Amino acid sequence: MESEKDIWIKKALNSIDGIEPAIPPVNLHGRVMQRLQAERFRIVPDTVSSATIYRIAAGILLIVALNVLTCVVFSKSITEKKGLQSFAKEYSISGTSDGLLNM
Amino acid sequence: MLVTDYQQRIYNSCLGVLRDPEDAEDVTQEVFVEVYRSIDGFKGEAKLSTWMYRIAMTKSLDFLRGKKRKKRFAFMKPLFSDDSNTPRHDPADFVHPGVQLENKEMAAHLFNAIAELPENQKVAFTLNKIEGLSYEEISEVMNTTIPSVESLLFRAKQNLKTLLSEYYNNL
Repeated sequence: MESEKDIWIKKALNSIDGIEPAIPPVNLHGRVMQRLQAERFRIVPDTVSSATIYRIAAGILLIVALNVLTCVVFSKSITEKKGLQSFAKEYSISGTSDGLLNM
Repeated sequence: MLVTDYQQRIYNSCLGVLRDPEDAEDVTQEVFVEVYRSIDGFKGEAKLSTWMYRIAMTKSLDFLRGKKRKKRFAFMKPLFSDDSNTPRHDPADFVHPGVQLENKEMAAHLFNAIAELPENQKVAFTLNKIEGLSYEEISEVMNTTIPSVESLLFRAKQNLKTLLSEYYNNL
């Protein structure tokens, strides 16, 4: 003989017999179509792999680093040259290393 | 039109797994977007409905996993915000709108139990009992054999009985 518990469990298991399909909200169709339209005009394709993106980023970093290095080296040589010239001017000699050596 | 023809089926199957109408609406949209993106890859080896059900189940399970992850870290939220008024309990028992009125209370218990099933059993049970798919159709959706589907449904039923027994004891 089935217990009250068994009857309860059986009732629960059978509670969705004859279940009708849920009706989606009226505006769902419109929202799906909007999403699909937006998808149609997506500019950035998601076929660009992350490896490609990292390579491009690395390339940009390299260019920036080279530029910075060039600026540092160039400005250092300008500073040295300017220093030499102002020294030469001070002591009225030609602003070249030969002039300095002939002092 | 694909959306018109399949919208209700996809929404209904998502609702069975997700147990939340808003989540089901969101995932239904994601399903159709995925179908749109992948339609070129659809070779027609399976029926279109099979393919779409497969996407719907995958998206639904992904959504549930994401929700679980958020829940896991939800304890940290009060540390960063002063939102102490936000209740931290689960939403009220879900009752599928298609369930007959006299069965709604029992169905709420059943849907709570379905939510506790392992993913494969959950999908098989939902597709069979809520969507009304045959074993053969379910095997195509889940990319498995008919005996596997039978086994999944048998184990799902056994697990549901165990869970419902616990619920009964807690009444």
